[in-house]
Amino acid sequence: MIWLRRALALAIVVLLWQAVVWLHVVPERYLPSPADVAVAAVAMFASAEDMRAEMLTVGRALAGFALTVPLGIALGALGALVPAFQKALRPWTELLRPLPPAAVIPISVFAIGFGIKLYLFIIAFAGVWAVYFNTVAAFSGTSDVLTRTGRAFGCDRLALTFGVVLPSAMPQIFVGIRIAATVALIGSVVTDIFGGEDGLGYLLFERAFALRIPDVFALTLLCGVNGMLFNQMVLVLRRLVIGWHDRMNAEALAA
Amino acid sequence: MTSSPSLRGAGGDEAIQGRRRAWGPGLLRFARNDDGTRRRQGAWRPAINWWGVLSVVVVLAAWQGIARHFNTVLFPGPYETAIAMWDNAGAIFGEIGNTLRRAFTAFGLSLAIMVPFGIACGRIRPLGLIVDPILEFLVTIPPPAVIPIVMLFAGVGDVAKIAVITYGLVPNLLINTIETVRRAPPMMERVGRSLRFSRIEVMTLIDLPAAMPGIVTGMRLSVTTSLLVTITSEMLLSTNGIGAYVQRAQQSFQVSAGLAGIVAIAITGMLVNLGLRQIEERLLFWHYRTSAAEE
Repeated sequence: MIWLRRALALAIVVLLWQAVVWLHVVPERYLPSPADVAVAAVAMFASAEDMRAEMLTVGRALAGFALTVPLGIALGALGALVPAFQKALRPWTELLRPLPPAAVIPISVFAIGFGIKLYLFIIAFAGVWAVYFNTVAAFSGTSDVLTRTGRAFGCDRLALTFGVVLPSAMPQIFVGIRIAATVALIGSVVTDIFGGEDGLGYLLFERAFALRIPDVFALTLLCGVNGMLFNQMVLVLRRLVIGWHDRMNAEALAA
Repeated sequence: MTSSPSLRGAGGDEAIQGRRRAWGPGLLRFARNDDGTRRRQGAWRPAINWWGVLSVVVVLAAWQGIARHFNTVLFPGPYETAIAMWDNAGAIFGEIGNTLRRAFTAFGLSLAIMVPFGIACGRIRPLGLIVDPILEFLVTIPPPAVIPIVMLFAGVGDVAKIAVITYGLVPNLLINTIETVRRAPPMMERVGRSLRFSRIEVMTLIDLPAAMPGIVTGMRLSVTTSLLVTITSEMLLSTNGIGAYVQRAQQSFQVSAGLAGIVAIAITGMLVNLGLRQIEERLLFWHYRTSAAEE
């Protein structure tokens, strides 16, 4: 059903797009027809250069994501368990969170140089807050019944944290993880644009300035495909880590 | 379809909802009296976040120490940054003004387009069924990645920036609106039908107020997003605005001026966030009151 609707939506978009091209509302130089873009997309998948850029962007986003999530969870757990830490971090979260990663790229280049380190830093900088805030909220929101039950079973603080609080916090932490996954891709592309010499973001602007317009459209769509892949990745991860939670909920609903 | 998971609004701290008991910038907070009522007088008592003060002092001191150690204009300390802020205050204020004007224009326009469209998508089923998968794909393309395409159609002027920002606000504004309209209690719509409301009346008199909590949450998140996207697109497309200022300063190796611009952005973002939370609580007092009563 969902696939049928997706196909229908795609058909409608392509039809509208083609209609705009036929009506010559926009010069064809700027708005290539869907067929042109499809041809460019096929060429893109065949091109070693483009695929290398894709691998680089996705690989760096993955590396950054793999760094951001444990970091965010660790900071969040520390913040929830040690109130002083949360208070000490608060002025920094409020100042740093509204900063666009693009704006800190040039300054970070001075401090840490180019290359993978820059990517890791920017992605972690942009994505860690979502994980942090959700972890703090999830830890603080653990239901009393759970912790008291845990204590009644003789858990010490360590066992309580890792055996009771963390698992029950995971569903909400995944809200943050999902945001971090999207942000990791954005961070990777943005760093390509502002501080990189390869990758999808760099290629996008190179092609745009060379006026290879169908290529630009194809690359933009590829960015979207990457986003969907990352989304799927988080869903799979979620099922692996807290599949038990969803099954339990489903059973509770069925009962 | 209830909601495909990817369609839920994305954002930083919307997870932390409900009644707030304290507000204020990181260092000074105003705590609410514990009985939860909001008295006119004396309801808020200020509390200084000493741990926050301590961490700010420690970090600034460490930063100054490291900067002193390297002793180069490429790594200014907080003192040099403060001097640069003072020296460039005029320019920075002006550019922040440009950026805010642009961000809020784009934000207002997006609001005017997306809230009605979102209500329509949530209410008119066939429209929603088609729009959902399109949005699902669209939100996966990051705003900076659409800049080249926007450049082709709209050049590098204000129109281009506003287009990029509007695009960047789709997840927060549009999707939040659609989802809250869909989640509204069906009884309200039935009441509307028995009052013989027309479709337009249902959408304006029932769906709009019912969707307000979602819309306002979306608004709060999107103001931050619009600032973010504005600055990013200014760095690529503009000759003015704080984004262009920071970019220029750093390209000419005036690191301290660039850093001063970044600090200005951070403070602006923080103030805008604080103001919005106040507005949100004012606008939605009825929502917080009822959800508090249900607790």
